[in-house]
Amino acid sequence: MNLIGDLMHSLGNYPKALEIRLSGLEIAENAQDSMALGNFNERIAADYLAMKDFSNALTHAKFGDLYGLQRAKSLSKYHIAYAFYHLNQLDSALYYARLRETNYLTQADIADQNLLLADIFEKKRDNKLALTFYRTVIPDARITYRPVLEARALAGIARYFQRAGQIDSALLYARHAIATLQRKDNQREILVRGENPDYHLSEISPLVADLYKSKGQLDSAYFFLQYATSLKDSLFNTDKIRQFQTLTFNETARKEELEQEKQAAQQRYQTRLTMNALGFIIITFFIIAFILYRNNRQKQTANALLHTQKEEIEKTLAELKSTQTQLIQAEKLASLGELTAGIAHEIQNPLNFVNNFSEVSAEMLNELKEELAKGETEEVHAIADDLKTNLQKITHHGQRASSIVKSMLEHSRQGRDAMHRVSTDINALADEYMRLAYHGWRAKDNGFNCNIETHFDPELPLVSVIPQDIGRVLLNLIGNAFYAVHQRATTLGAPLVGAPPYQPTVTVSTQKIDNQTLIRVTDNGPGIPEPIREKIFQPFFTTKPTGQGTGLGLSLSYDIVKAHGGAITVESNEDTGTTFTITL
Amino acid sequence: MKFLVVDDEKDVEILFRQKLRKEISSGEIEIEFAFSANEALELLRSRKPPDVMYIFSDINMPGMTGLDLLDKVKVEFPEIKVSMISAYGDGENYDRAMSSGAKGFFTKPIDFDTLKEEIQGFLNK
Repeated sequence: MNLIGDLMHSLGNYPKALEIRLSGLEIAENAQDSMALGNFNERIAADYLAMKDFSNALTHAKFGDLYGLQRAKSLSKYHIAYAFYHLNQLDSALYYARLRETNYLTQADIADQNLLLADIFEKKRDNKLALTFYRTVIPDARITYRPVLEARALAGIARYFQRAGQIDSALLYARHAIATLQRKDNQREILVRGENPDYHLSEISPLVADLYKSKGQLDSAYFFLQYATSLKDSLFNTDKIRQFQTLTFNETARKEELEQEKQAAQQRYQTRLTMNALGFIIITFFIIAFILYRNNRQKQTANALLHTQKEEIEKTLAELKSTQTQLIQAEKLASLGELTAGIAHEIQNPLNFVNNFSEVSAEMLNELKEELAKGETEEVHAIADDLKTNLQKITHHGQRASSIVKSMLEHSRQGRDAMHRVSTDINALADEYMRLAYHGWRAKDNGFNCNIETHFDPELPLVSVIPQDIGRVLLNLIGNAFYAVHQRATTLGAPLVGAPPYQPTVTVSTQKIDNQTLIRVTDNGPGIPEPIREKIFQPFFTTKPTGQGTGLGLSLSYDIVKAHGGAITVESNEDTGTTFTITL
Repeated sequence: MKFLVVDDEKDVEILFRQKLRKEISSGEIEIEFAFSANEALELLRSRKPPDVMYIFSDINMPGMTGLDLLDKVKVEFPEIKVSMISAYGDGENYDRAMSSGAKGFFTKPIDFDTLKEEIQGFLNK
C-alpha cells in the first residue's frame, strides 16, 4: 500500500497517495502493527509536506518518529525538521535535524541532511554556513544521482549570490538548477524516486524570473514567471485541493469514528471485564462449593471408616479383656496346680496322723482292758491320759486337713473383695504358705534341697487382709525364690576349692515398722539383672522357659497388694540375691 | 539299744512312743527324736562314741533333707544304720536312698508292724 502511495506520490497525485496511505494507516492502527504505523505516518508526513500542510505533516512525522523503526524514525525526524522549517520554527528544525543519528545515514541521506541544514541556516540568515552546506550537497547528490538535491543546492547557492548582489553568478547557478531538473534522464530519475520535477521547477523558476528582472531582461523574467504559474496550476488545481479537503474531512470523520469505536470497544471491554469477573466469581463459587462438597464427602467417608475402626477396636478390646480374664484364671489354676502337690503332702501328713493315732488308740484300749483285769490302776490312768492326748491329736490333725482343703477352695474362688477381709495373723499366714510353697516345690523336684529360715516379729499386729490373696502373693514370691536358688544351684557348677559350698537359702521374715507391716521374702539366688528389674511386674513378662511360667504371677501379686492399699518392692543384687518386700 | 527318729512333724514322737510303748517300757529299746537333719547331726556329734545304733529319718524336711543326712551319716558314722521314711514312695527316692547305703525304705503312713519287725530283726542280730 505504501508502494502504491509512493507511486501516486511520484505521479504528483499526493491526495491519492495520501488517501491510500491513510487507509493503510487505519489497517495498521487496527492491527496494532507499530512498524507499519511508523512507516505509514512517516510517508503520510512526506505527503503532507509535499502538499505544504505542515501542521499535519508535523503531527504524522511525530507519530512516525514514535512508532517507526530506525529508518522510519530518522526520516520522520527529517520531516519534523522540514515542517518546523516551513513553520519558521528554525531552532526546533535545527534541533530535530541534529537529532538524526548520522551513523545510520547513507550517502544519499547525508546529501538530504546537508541540504536540510543548508536550508535551515539560510533561513536563519547564516549565509556562510548555508553556502558551505549547499556546496557539500552537490557532489553527494551527483554521486547518488539525486538531481532534485543538486538542483535545490544550486538554487540555494544562487540565492546566496543574489543576496550578495552577484546577480550574474546567481543567475548562472539558478539556470544550472533549472537545466538539471529539465534534463530528460534526470526527470525520469526524479519520477522513479517518487518526486515531481515540475514541483521543483515551479519552486526555482520564480528565482530565475527575479534574477532576470534584476538584470532588466524583462521578457526572460516574464517567461519564467509564466512557466512557474503553469507548473503550479498543474500541481495544485482546484480539483485536487477539493479532493484533499474531502480527504481531510474523511480523516477527521474516521478519527471520530475511531474515537467512538474506541469508546465502544472500551465499553465492550468493560462489559467483557464485568462478565469475566462475574464468570470468574461464579466459577470460583462452584470450585469452592465442589471443594466443600468433596471435603464433606471425605469427612463422611473418614467418619464411617473411623466408626468401623472404633467398632473393631472395641471388639478387639472386648476379646482382649476376655482373654485376659481367661489368662488370669489360667494363672490361678497354674498356681493351684503348684499348690496341689504341696497340699497333697500337707493333707497326707495330718491324715497319716489321724490314721496312726486312731490305730494306736485302738491298740491302747486293748491294753487298757488288760491292765484293768490286772487291777493296775496307775497304768490304766496313764493309758487313759495317752488316749485323751491321741483323741486331741486326731481332732487337731483332722482340723489341719480340713483347713487346708478350705484354703484350697478359697484360693480358686472368684470375685473376692474387701468384704472378705479378715483380721489375719500374718506370721501364721506366712508360715502356712511357706510350707505349701516348699512342699509344692519339693513335689516337683525331689532332688532339691534348700535352707528355709523364718524370722517372724512376735509384735506383729493382726492385719485386715484377704488371707487367700496375700497367701497367693506369698506363694508366688516364695515359689520364685525357690526357683531362683535352684537356678543358681544348678548353673553354678562345682564350688571353688576352699570356698564354702553354695547353700541355697530362702528366708521369710515379718517386721512391724510404725503402723506398717512388712513381709520380706529373700533368696540368695542369682539376682535380677538391672535391665529387666523394672519389667518384672509387667503382665506376661517372664524369664522362665516357655510353658513354665505365665508371666502373670508378679503382675497379679502387684495388683493384689495394691488392692490392699499396700506396696510391693524389690531389691536385687547379683551377688547376694533378691528381696521382695510387701508393705501393708 | 538306742534309735533316733528324725522328722519335722513333732507329733511323730508321741506316735512312736505309743506304738513302741512295750519295747520302750521293757527297756529293749531307747528312742530319741530330732526335728531336723541338722538337729540329728548335732545330737550324733555330741556323743562320743555315739550311742545311737539306728536312725529312721524322714526325707522331706526343710533345710537339710533326709537323703543329705543319710550321706553325711554314712561318711561320719559309717557303723550307724539308716532307714528312710518318706511320703513320696517314688522310685527315684528309693534308688537314691538305697545306693547311698540306706538299710530300708518305709513309706508314710508308717506301717508300724513292718517297722517293729525291722527293729526286732536288728535287735536279734
